[in-house]
Amino acid sequence: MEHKVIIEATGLSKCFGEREVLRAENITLCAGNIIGVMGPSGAGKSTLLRILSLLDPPTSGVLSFFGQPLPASPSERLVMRRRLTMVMQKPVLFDASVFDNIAFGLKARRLPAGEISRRVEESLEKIGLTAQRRQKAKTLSGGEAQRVALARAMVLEPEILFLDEPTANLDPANVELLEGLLRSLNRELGTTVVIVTHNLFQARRLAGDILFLCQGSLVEAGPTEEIFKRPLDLRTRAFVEGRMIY
Amino acid sequence: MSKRISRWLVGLFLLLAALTTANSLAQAAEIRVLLDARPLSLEVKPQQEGGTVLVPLRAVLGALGAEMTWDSKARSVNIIRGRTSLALTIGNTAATRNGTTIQLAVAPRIVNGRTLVPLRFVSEALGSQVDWRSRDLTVAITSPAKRALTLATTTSTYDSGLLQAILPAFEKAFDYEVRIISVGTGAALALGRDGNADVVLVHSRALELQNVAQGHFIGRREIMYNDFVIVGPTADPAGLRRAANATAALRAVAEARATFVSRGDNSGTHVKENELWRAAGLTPSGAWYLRAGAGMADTLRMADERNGYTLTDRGTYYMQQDKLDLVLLFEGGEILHNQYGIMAVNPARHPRINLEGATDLIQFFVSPRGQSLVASFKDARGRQLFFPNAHLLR
Amino acid sequence: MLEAIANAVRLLATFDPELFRIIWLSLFVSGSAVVLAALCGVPLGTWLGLKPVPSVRAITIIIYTLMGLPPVVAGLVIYMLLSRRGMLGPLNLLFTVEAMIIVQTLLAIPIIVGLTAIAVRSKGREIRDTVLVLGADHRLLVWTLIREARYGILGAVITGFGRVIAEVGAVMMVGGNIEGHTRVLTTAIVLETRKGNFALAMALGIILLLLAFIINSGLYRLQAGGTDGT
Repeated sequence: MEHKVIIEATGLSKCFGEREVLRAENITLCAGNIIGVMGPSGAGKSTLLRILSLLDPPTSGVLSFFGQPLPASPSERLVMRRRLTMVMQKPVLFDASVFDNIAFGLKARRLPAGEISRRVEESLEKIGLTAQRRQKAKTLSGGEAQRVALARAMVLEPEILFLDEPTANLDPANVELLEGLLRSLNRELGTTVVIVTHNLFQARRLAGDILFLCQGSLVEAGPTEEIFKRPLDLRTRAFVEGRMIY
Repeated sequence: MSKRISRWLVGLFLLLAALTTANSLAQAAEIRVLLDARPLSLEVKPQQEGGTVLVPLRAVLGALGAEMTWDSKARSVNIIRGRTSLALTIGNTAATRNGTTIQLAVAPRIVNGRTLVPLRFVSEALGSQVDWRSRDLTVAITSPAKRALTLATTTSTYDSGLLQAILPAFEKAFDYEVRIISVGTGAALALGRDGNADVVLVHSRALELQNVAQGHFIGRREIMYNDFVIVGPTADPAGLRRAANATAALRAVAEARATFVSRGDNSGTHVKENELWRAAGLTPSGAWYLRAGAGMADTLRMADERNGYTLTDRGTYYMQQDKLDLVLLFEGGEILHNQYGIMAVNPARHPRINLEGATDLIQFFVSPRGQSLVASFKDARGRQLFFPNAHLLR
Repeated sequence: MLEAIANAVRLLATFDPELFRIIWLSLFVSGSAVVLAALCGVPLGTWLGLKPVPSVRAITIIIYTLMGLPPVVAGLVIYMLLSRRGMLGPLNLLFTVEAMIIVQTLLAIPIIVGLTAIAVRSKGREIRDTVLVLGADHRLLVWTLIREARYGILGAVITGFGRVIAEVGAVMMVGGNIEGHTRVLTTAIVLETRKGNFALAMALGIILLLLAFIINSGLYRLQAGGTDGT
């Protein structure tokens, strides 16, 4: 388990108009970990993910990635953005073939065609959709679509991969497949995985560390087993014991 | 100071009070006459004798849209409204209505140089309804209900403004509400053929006669004429000004291949234009000859924009003159005569058309009154646009 | 009515050259106008669709108003510009095919801009996050949006075409309905009606409907082909 800090956020706050939806004094994510982000609905998990994946700016706070502050110039920021990627809860696939969907990010980075082809074919095999490479992505089932969305992200070999409840709508077979892919990505490439999940079991299965949010604030953070066995906060305890009504 | 002002104020107040009292006292004895709920202004106050109210003749005639002729020797007046004619004699209780003699309760008289006639008799004889309100001494006259009449005519006739100027007199005297549909000549005739109009007024003699021969229309009368003229650019490249006649003028245009804009819509003007080309022995074709497929005003505009020639009726040209650079280059000659005809739709083909209205309108146009209204219609510069010729039974 | 249909068939079957010239001109004028309008309108609409709604509220209202611009008003404005007395008079464009294309382009542009903006904005909401998070730069984002919204954009173009091929006020005003030069189906219908040839006018109307139907259903099939399974 590495302890190099890959993302650090201090004094983070996000407001929509008058309403503050997220507040976290200090978030530290270590490289090479699988970090689970948990909490009841409306806790601000998706908001946090969007800020950390550089989709939305925070209202206040300081972010640093890979030990460096956020660059000012858009072109440098783009370079940094290309070191991470995200998979949404509902997969949004393009009106194109499965192959072209997976290849999208690679084409964006102007990789040579041969390299793109190799990586995509490899990825298709891993998700078991080699035969459907020419099929229109819009015609896939929910499980197949989420696999393609994950493949699309993984094929970029990102240093950080964010996922927002990626298996929420999937059947157990697909859940197992996706979790396996995440584990191997983390193991083989050392990708830091930040995954928002509602599923207590999934969190315990996958995550090495947990961030627990409740009503917009970071309540507790720590290793998975600590959070589950010896939660410090009453809310955390209620949540991990499955007693939190929400 | 304030004492003087207050004295003035009291005096003013008393004066006002006196005046209003006197006024209402005077009003209390006065009879009011209303025509369709609007007060009628009378030069002389109405007089009452027995149960009959007498009013000045001229006011009543004006209100009802009637005309009159005065015979000073016989001291009698002849009133005409629509199809009704009344004859009254001063001091005589015998009056006639369309020839039938009627006895009056009170004879017409002259007071202060004004002729007074029995209000109820005259109004009712001319078709109105008369009601007496004893409560406030009011006579309420209700004009007869208006019947609908649909007239189809050409756009150039309508745009000249003639109908808008003279039809109200017809509507008032004959109790009609005329709906004018202005379309191309062909469409106007088609409206009549299909029974969508009661009466048609166009200026395309050959087409009219053809339609009559085919049994679509009856009672055709020729009522007025104007003429066609050829207009074009001031520069006059084809030299129309020097042409001997209209045919020669068009031949000159063709030879010079000067831009010529044709109506191209089978209107009266277009038919006349084709007649001229035939007389010249030419079939116009080529880039210089533009078939616009438009109304007269639009065709003039196009000729203006293109610096070209066109054949137009004088009336539309006069109306558009101020907006155009085109000038009148050729006029005159029997061949440029533009005859207007009016005819009723044949009820044998369309039983539900308003034949009575159509006939009344035709009668109106050929009557001395109608003909003189046509002649007195002038454009903005005071020029006469239409010349009545109904007496010439062709 | 049946007489009119028979008339229409007869006219087409006998390959009446005047009729075919009119049909060709209708297609040429409206087709050119729509192509030009798309070239201007699609980029403009895309730019509009990328902007957040509050910042373009004024422009959006103007575009929506212009979408309903009465053709005869557009015709009048262009007429006044192109007239000999107008600002562009020296160009001698009045009563020409070029003038007709100009005015129809102006009529089609707001429709294409407005509907393209709507298509792009709704697609934008859908895929913006995904595209950004996959590392696309701004140019790729715009290009992807246009590609994803292509059926919506095609729909905008079809709608624009439908509007201009059916209008008569603008082309009548600036074209003048000159036989053999600027006469199209709609203006020919007006003329035949004015002449009282209702059956012929009806026949022309049927031909116009048929034309619009053929083109619209062809384009619709193209569009529907892309939205299957969504």
